Amino acid sequence: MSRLLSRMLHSEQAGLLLALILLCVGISLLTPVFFTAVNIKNVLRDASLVAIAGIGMVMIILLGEIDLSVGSTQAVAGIIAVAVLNQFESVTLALVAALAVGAFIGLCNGLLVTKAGINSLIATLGMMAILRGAAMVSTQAVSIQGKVEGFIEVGTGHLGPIPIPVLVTFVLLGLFYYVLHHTILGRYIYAIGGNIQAARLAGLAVDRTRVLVFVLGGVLAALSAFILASRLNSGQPNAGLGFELQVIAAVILGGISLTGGVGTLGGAFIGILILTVLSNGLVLLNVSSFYHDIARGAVIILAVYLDTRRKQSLLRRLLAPPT
Amino acid sequence: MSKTKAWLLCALLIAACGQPDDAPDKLKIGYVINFMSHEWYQNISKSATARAAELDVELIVADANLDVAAQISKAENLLAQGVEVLILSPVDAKAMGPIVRQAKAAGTKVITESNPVSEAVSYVGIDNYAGGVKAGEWFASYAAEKGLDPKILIVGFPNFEDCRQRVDGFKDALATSGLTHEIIQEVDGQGLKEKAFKVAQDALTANPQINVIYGINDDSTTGGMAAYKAAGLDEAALTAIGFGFEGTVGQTALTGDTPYAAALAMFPNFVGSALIDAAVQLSRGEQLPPHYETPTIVVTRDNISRFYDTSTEPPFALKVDAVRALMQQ
Repeated sequence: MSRLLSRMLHSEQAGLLLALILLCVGISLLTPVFFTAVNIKNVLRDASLVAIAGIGMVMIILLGEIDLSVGSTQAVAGIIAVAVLNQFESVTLALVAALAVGAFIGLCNGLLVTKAGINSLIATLGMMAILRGAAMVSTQAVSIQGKVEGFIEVGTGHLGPIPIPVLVTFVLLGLFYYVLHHTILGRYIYAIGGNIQAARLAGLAVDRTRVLVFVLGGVLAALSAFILASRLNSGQPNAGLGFELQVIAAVILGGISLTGGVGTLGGAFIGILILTVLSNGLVLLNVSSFYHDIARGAVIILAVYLDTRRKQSLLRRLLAPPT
Repeated sequence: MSKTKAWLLCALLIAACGQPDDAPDKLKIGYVINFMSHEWYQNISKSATARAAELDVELIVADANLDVAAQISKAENLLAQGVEVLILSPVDAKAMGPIVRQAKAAGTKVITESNPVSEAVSYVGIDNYAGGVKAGEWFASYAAEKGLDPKILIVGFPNFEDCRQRVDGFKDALATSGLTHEIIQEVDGQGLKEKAFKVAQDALTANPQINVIYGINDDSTTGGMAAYKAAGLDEAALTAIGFGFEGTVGQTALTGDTPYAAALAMFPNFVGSALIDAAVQLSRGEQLPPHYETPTIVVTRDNISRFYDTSTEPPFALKVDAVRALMQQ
């Protein structure tokens, strides 16, 4: 137990974990509602939307790329899901359709980046605009309501005491932790993100890996869109406005380096939890929304500061001469 | 490009420029809309276009997409095209001064939608504060009649002046009504269902005793209702009041079996046609009041069929004459 604790304290994410714990303790001192089962469920459920899309984003950023189209994917995949749902009265078919759309979006992004050689920032920026436009055109900016009983269960239902989206998130986190650390794909992702030239020279399937990761990112973003659509029982053309920045900010806060090759899924999840707990706490405490942005900015800076300081002290200890 | 081709192209361009206008005496109106992606502006734009066709005037619509700079440059483009009347749904009313002055210098008259802009001739739209008061008065008498003990959650959008007025009017009317009530919390739903759901969920967790939700538009109200349902609270105990009644979302909720009891209807379809009417009057040299007010009324399940044709699926067709009658009252 103590070994586990010391390993945790010396792990990459200890600084961030400390920031998260401080934040939780602070908020629960101010309001007793924070540490109730209902509220913890709410926080985890809110975090799950960002986390599911975030897993894809982590892999994409680890490659040294970025995906700005995840917010618009929330709208497009959600609309398609609800349209298919109403047409065929099947939740499964709606899920398949949403994921297929996500895969297609990811494939387009991946091919634009690899085959057309367009910088991913620009390629996915273009994709973001095209998809948002498509969402508006296809619905004439009017949201469409789900008309099938049971669809809402996906986003609001429980399996035992655990909300379904939270369960999905933890399963995916486990799965992709395994992929990133125990499979060839994972090693390729870190290698390509660390040094793409070296990876190419070493004969890795660089472009195929990049396309595959964009496709996975698209599918995960679409899954998060499906859950959102289910929670609201509708496909919203305005869904996911600014969502891409929320996801990117959270995973970068979690220590994923924008230059690629550095960071872990666990860290990213803590980053996501920090931002979710914060916005939850501010509403619980009835803080005027005008202060929310200030608090968010302050917490981001503070968390990264704690993390940097801890890493520096770790480095000093490593470099210090043995006594 | 060869020289011959270049000359040919020049000749074509000159010929194209020399084409006479197909209808030189047709009134030309330009409209830069705030945010076309919202159902409210969709409805305004549709009804303005329909009214323009009816009155045989030319209407050019451009979308600022919530960007002040884009709004100004699009307005400049319309002025360059020689519009006689310029309509603006300001992204930011305070930033419109220079473009209004520029329009004046070009001899173009400016009217605005929803928000007054100093130096513009008139603004067409509802009185948001008065609308909030109507919603509050309706709720006060409803609560008294039903014997409610109101614990209120307000889902607002405090970044915008008109949304603040909707809330202020509601609160003031409740305060003067003498009804015992408590405003538990005000949250910022940013006018979007997704955001409204999230913040309402947190507020309901902190205060599960809430039994009234007032939202500044239909998405805010229905987002709050969805959060209430998701929290497992008893929907029968909830009264939801909306402001706007912009289109499908509100109409579906109000005519369905939901806690949505009443909405302050602002009739966007009517606002669109009123904008064109005002522009036409202005071009004829008629005087307009500084506030060309369009009507609002509290719509419930009992009186909705007076204003909308509810025999179809939403969106319902507006009974324009019924609304025009309200305006004359």
